[in-house]
Amino acid sequence: MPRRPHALVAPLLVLALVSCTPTTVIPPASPPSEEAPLFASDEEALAAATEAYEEFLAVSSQILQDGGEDPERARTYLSDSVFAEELAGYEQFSESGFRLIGQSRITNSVLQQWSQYETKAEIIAYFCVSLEGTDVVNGSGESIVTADRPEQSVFEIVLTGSRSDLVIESKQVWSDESICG
Amino acid sequence: MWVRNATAAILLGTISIVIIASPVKASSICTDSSWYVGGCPNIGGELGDDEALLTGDLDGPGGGNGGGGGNGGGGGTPGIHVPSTPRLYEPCIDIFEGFCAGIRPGAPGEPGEDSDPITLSDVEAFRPTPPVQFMQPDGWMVVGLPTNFYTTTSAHTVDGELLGLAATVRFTPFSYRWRYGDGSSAVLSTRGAPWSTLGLREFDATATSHIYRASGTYVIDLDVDYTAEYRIQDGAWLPIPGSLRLPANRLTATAGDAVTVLVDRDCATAPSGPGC
Repeated sequence: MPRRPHALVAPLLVLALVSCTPTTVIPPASPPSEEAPLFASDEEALAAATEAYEEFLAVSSQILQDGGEDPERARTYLSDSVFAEELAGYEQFSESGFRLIGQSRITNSVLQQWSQYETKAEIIAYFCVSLEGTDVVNGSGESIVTADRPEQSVFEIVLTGSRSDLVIESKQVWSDESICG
Repeated sequence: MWVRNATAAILLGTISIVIIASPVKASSICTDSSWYVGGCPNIGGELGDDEALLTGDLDGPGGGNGGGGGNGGGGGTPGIHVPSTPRLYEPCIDIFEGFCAGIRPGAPGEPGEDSDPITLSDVEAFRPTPPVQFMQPDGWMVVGLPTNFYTTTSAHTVDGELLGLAATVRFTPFSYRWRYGDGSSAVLSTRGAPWSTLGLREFDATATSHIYRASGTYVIDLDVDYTAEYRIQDGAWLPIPGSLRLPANRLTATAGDAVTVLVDRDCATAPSGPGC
């Protein structure tokens, strides 16, 4: 009589221990509730934005140097709405027989802010861009640049996308050139 | 979500923000092609008494006038000076259609003498839709019971054109100033709504109701304050500093005392019934 409970308890204990064993394994670390930041620092975000904007400027300049030919080259760097605006300009170059000589260059950049949602980033930065040494000529080789064209401008550029695939969502001119130094 | 800023980071749960002192203000869109040829237009906004004014000129950012806005008054008109020679910016005709084309002297490509500079500037007024106010009951009130005032004005856009570009101004109401005509007034942040919309019964109190304490005829005025933003083409919305105050229609209504009477049935369905 007093042995029966023991006989029952022992297997139950073993069963209980066995059944508990898997759940006592330390689970793998759960993924962080938030995506890791795409950029380790502000400098890194600005560098990515600068690289993307520089690539666009180079391609855009090339299109204009080619007289507006093959404007689709710029599409991958721009949002649909920005591309539509630029496309109109490229087409006017083509129709008018204009051609760009030289290329703009970024002389300074300042980060305004960057943000991240899941794996997508948005970077807003200001760029001082110089037109020094550039010209636009018509089919006769005459310059059509206006006499008081500013030699440098400040653009506020908004880029969105993944770290390696940033697209220009907006580009606007700013009236303050203080970042140009 | 992450937001980072260049000088300070504020962590708000999963959000961090960084903001730097930024350049003064944004201008309008600027394509690479137009920029290479002649710079980009400066466009700014300002608010008048009952309208938003957008000002635009083809003075590039280096023009030194601070860019747009605030040039409607004294002083010379800022703007780019384009020589009337074949060097005139040809794409301008299309990019700023209707503006450049209307001003440019001489035929395209025709050599000409340099003349006085042409000022390419433009001002466009955008007027919001005036607010309309209503009251319940319509045209009368019961002394001692809430009268419900409300307006239907809401955020709305007005389209126009500046420098040949599509321009839109968005007006958003944010403050409602009622003067009830009995010496009292209220500045509210809600426009109110009809009793039925609010799911209330007649003479229930609302966020915009008012109780008159004496019988008589009252004149009710409402002014609505709006903020304004503008955008060029499909660009980003840019705020216009300040606010606009627009008056609504004036209401005149009579307040009377109510007497409670026991009736046989609803007087609306049986107007000749006892007590009606």
